[in-house]
Formats: sequence, structure tokens, C-alpha cells
Amino acid sequence: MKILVCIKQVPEHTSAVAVHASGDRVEIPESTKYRINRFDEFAVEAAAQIKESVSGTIVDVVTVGPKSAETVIRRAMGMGADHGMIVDDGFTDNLTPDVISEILARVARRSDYDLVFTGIMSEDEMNAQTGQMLAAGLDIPSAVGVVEISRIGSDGDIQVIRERENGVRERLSISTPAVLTIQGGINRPRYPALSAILRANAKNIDIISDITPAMTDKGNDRSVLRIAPSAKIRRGKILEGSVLQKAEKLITILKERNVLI
Amino acid sequence: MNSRLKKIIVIAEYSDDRPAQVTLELITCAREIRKIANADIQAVVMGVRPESAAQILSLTGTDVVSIEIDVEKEQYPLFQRRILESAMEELKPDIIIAAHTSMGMDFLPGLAVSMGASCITGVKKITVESGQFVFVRSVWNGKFDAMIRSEKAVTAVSVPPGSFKPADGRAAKKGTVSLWKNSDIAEDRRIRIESVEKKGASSDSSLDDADVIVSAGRGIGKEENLEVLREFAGLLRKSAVAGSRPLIDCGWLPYRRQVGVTGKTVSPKIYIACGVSGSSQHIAGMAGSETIIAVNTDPGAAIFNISDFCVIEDVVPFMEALVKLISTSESQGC
Repeated sequence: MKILVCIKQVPEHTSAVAVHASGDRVEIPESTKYRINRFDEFAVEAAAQIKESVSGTIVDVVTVGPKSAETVIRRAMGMGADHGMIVDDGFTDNLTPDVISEILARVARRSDYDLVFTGIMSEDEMNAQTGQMLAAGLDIPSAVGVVEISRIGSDGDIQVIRERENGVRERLSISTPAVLTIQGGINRPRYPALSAILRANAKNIDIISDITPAMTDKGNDRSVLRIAPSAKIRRGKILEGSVLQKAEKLITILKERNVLI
Repeated sequence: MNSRLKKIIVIAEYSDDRPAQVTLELITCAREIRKIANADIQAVVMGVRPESAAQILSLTGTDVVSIEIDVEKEQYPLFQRRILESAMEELKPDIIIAAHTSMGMDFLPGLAVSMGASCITGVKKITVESGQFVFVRSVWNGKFDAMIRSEKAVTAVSVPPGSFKPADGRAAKKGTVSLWKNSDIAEDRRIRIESVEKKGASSDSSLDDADVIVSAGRGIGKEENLEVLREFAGLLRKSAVAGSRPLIDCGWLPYRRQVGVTGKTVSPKIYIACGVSGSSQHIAGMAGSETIIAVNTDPGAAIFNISDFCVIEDVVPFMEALVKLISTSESQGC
């Protein structure tokens, strides 16, 4: 079985992320450390677990982004991925899912993948589109919000559970090749062992430079006019002072509402 | 795309023969667009027995296309998408509005690809600027809003539940209902729904009954730090500890304690969000709380936008100090 996991890097912390002076994008400080998008980490773990249970499984991991995304690719390799790829470009950082998914489709077509995993969405852009669009581009089925991979059949069929609303879950049979977008909570992503990290660090990462957005015939399907801090819905009185003073003020609020025992 | 558009299609969801609440909200969303641009609105209800839901939906004054599909096709989602695609070819929408739900997010991005449409998800507001539509959506876990313009002739948007008020089902003039049968669409059985099950644990009532909910987010850092929140909750009347999705995903709290779109919707007297960033998924589950207090180290955290009281502090040391202070002032009082 051959699995491709598509991952994205996101800033480790978002407190320093601010609106750029241009007003149409965010500014991420140079010093920012990146990690694997939370949902993609679940996807990498899901693939690593299949590799452990189905012999002969190969797991490739890919990201569309700058060469510095090597850090998250190596992390995924430390978790169990065999090969890492970065589609680097020097292109602008605001490609929309229709373009990203087309680039990923071109990567996927170079190999016979039985399964392609993505996280259900990225924590920064929150589009939740790339996996489904990738499946549409490859003309293969996709399951969205997978919380369990129950069975990998030798007949090319897999069985998964996907999450609907209000605790409802749907059991699906899917013929491979297929795309699964992985929901959080499907597993407990491992912390890579030191030996695995060292092994991953010794491996090469393929830098793919012959797939570019220009080849995809697709422009961004939208553009960002402005970015702004999200609107205040409530007045949000800020409690001022030292830690102790703030705690005292909070106690007063709780007392006024008669909830302290 | 300019604002002189011709047709808005709302993709309905229904269960038990009634349109879903979110579908009524999408009708309002479509009407908001109509206020700023000349447009026809039509809703599409598709399923095995769509007609009752279609009739009820038409009471809002909306014209409805009811597409009945064969029972044996119900379990094949890809097949249903093809039927929807062919319906769109016929209806020729300029804007497609679907719910930002597990159903909407299943088909919408693929539908947009096949139609060459722009796909803009999580849209909570639509306005017009210089004759062009502006779609407002949350990004960065709700910290920022992005104002987006479509670059294609057709735009498919998904709207999260709760973004608009539901349309009134007692319009002066009922809409028309057209009955369609799914035509000769090539079969696609590559995905089959085997069964649908309900996770029993969601029936826990402890969150419904609580006057105060102490809610933990990823900001608490590690599982052991839940202890100080439990201790704090122990000092409050009729209280319960809950958590945001990432925390439940980590297995730190059971599923039934999850607040948000994929968990429970709560409206206690006081909601205390500890280290919760405030993603739209979470906020949708607690926005109705009477008083909201948030403790977070990031002054720009989205949770503060919906809070009545904001404590900008590192959550764990602050909660420790708070618990200590309450405990000592109590003993002094004795």
C-alpha cells in the first residue's frame, strides 16, 4: 500500500501574528517557529499506524511551501513517513486551495498512491477544501472528517467512519484510490523517538521545482481585499492590575453573581 | 463577478421531512444578498423523500426545486453529487449557498471544481463594495476576519450554522415547488454509506444543568493542568468542567464534555474560558452564555471578542493564584 500525506506548516504560536501594514495579509515575525498543522499531524499518525499494521506500506509526505518547511517534513518523517517532498516555488504564499490541490494532484499522479491523506483543514486559512478538491481533480472519491480507519481490505476497499453533527457518525466503504481528510482525535500523534528523528535527519528531501502554479492553468479563485482583527461582539472589560489584583476583581464578579460556594 | 447577478441557489438539508434550521438561515443569507443586488432565489432539496421538506421550505416564500432520488441511490454520496452537478448545469446559478456542515463540506469543494467556480467556505457575512460582493470569513482560529472577493463568474459559499437568523415560515406568498426526478446520471458507487450511528455518550446532561462552566482550551498546556480548573470548579455552585475540541481530541476530557459545533451547545449563567483561543467552532457552542469570562495570554485571542470580562494572563499560574485566593479568603471568613 502506498500513502501520500499532504501537510502544511503553521506558526507554533499565533500571538505574534498581526495584520500587515498593507492590510491585505497577516505578518508573521521572522523569528516564528513552525509546526505541523494540528489536523495534518493526525493524518501523518494515521498513515504511520497503517504502515505498522500493513506490511510493505510506503508513506510519502509532501508540502507546498518554502524550503524552510523542511522542519515539518522531517518531523513527519520522524513519525514514520519514508520520503519527504517539498513543492517549492518561490511563489507567493497566498495560493488558494484550488491551485494547491491541483499542484498536489500533479504530485500524486507521479506515483500510484492507494490513499491520500490531508488534515480536515488548516488552522490558519481554515478553508477545509484542499482534500475534496484534490479528490475531484484526481477523479477519485473522498471522505471528509474521518475519525476512524476501521479496515483496510486486500480487495482495495477500505472502511472508515466519518463524523457528522451531534455525535452522529457515518460508516463508509470506499474503493481506493481515495482521499481521506482526517478529523482531530482519530489517534494520538506520537512524539518521534530520538533515533527516528536522527534517521529522518539523515535522509534526503526531494525539492520539486518542476510543478508550478503556472502549469495548473488555474489562478487563485479569489483574492483577499482586507484582513482585520475579528469584530467584538461583547464589550470585553479588561481586568487590570497585578495577577493578585485581577484575581480579586474576578472574585468580586463571581460574588456579585452569587456562584461562589 | 459584479453585483447585478441573476440567480442564487440554496442547497437545503433536511431530516424527518423538515428543512434543517441552518437551511432556513441560508434563505435569510440569500435574501440579504438580494437586498444589495437584484436576484432570484431558489432552494434545492434533494433526497429520497424531499417533497414534504420542500413544501415546508416554500412556506418561507422561496421557490423550491425538489429532486427525488431512488432509494437504492441514497447510500452513494458521489452519485448524489453527480445529480446535484447536473441540476446546477440546468439551474445556472451565479451564487451557490450551502451550509458549512459535514454534508455541505462533503460536496461543495468538489462541486466548485467541476463547475470552475470559486469556493469560499465559512462565510459569515456578505456585503458589497464598489459594485462587488465581499465575503467575510474567519481565519486564524477566529483571530482575524478576511474580506474576500471572488475571481470567478460562479461562486460557491458555505455558511456556518448560526450566522443568520432563520427565515420565517409564514410568508404572505408561498413559493412554488417544482418536482424533479433524478435523470440518467451514470452510477458511481465508489463510496457507500454502510450505516449511520449515534455516539451514545453525548446524552450527558451535566453541562446542560450547570450554572457555571469552567472550560479548558489548549492554552492549559498539559493534562495535569486540568486539576487546577477542577479545583476552581469545586469552589463554584452547580459547576462543570468542559473543554474545546483540541482538548477532547487529545483525550484529556471525554467527548460529552466538548463545547462547540461538533460537541454541545451550552448557555450557562457564567462561562469561564481558560486558555481557549475562541475558534468559530467553539464560539458557536457557547455564545448564548449570560456572562462570559476569558483568561488567555494572547490579548488578540478571538475569545476576548465575545467576552464580558477579559483576563490577559498566563492561564495556569493565574488560575492557581485565583484558587489560592478564594481558599484563603474563605478560611478568613470562618
